Amino acid sequence: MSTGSVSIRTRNVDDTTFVELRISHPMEPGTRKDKQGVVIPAWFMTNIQVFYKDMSVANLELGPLVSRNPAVSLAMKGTQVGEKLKVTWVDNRGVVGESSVKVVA
Amino acid sequence: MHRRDWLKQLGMGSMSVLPATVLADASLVHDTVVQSIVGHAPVKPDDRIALYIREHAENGAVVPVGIVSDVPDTRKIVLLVDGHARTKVAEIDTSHAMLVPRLSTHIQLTHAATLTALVETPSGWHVNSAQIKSLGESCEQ
Repeated sequence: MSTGSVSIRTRNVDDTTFVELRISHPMEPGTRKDKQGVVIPAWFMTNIQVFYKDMSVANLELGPLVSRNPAVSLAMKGTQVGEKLKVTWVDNRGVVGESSVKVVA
Repeated sequence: MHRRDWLKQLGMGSMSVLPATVLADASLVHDTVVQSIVGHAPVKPDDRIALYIREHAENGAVVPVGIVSDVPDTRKIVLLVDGHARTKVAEIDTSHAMLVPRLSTHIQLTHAATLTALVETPSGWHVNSAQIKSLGESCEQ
């Protein structure tokens, strides 16, 4: 996965749709040092939004303690197979990204 | 869907997850940060908020955390961790009717820590906590 690429998987169990996101990102907390002892600047994702049929259904704020290549799982009810699910993200450097899939059974 | 089934869906079903214990006094944990989030509103300890963690995490760089709120009308879930430079890990707005008040992710810790989940409802704030007692391979400082 290149930086910023988004993987979205959906699974339906009973009446619940599980949305599993994985976004390629360094998630540097800003507290680590490199081999020369220089602090590595913070670089982390700050926000993820999930849209269902172009309507925002989830807004997630993240801090620098989320692990590298964040994996986030959410659960939704009332989705329909084939409808569009879109994910957008932004990091503390202002880099943005998005991806979308169709809900699968 | 039962919590157990949900955890299986999240790939956490194989680990021995520990339901959190209700804090006797929520004000003892992350006092300043909690106050910055809830203001002067009271915060009630509530075991309807479950944190699913490994008590002894294998890898500090990737520590799985699951939160399930069974508090009615949960509008927001905030995850905090103590003893680290940045206390607030994540905050999710769960007010949309389609969204189930649950969240799972992985966090990076440098040492053992107490995780606290704050839940906002129209009637006020609720809290529960769980402790990660040890880490295997910690991420670099």
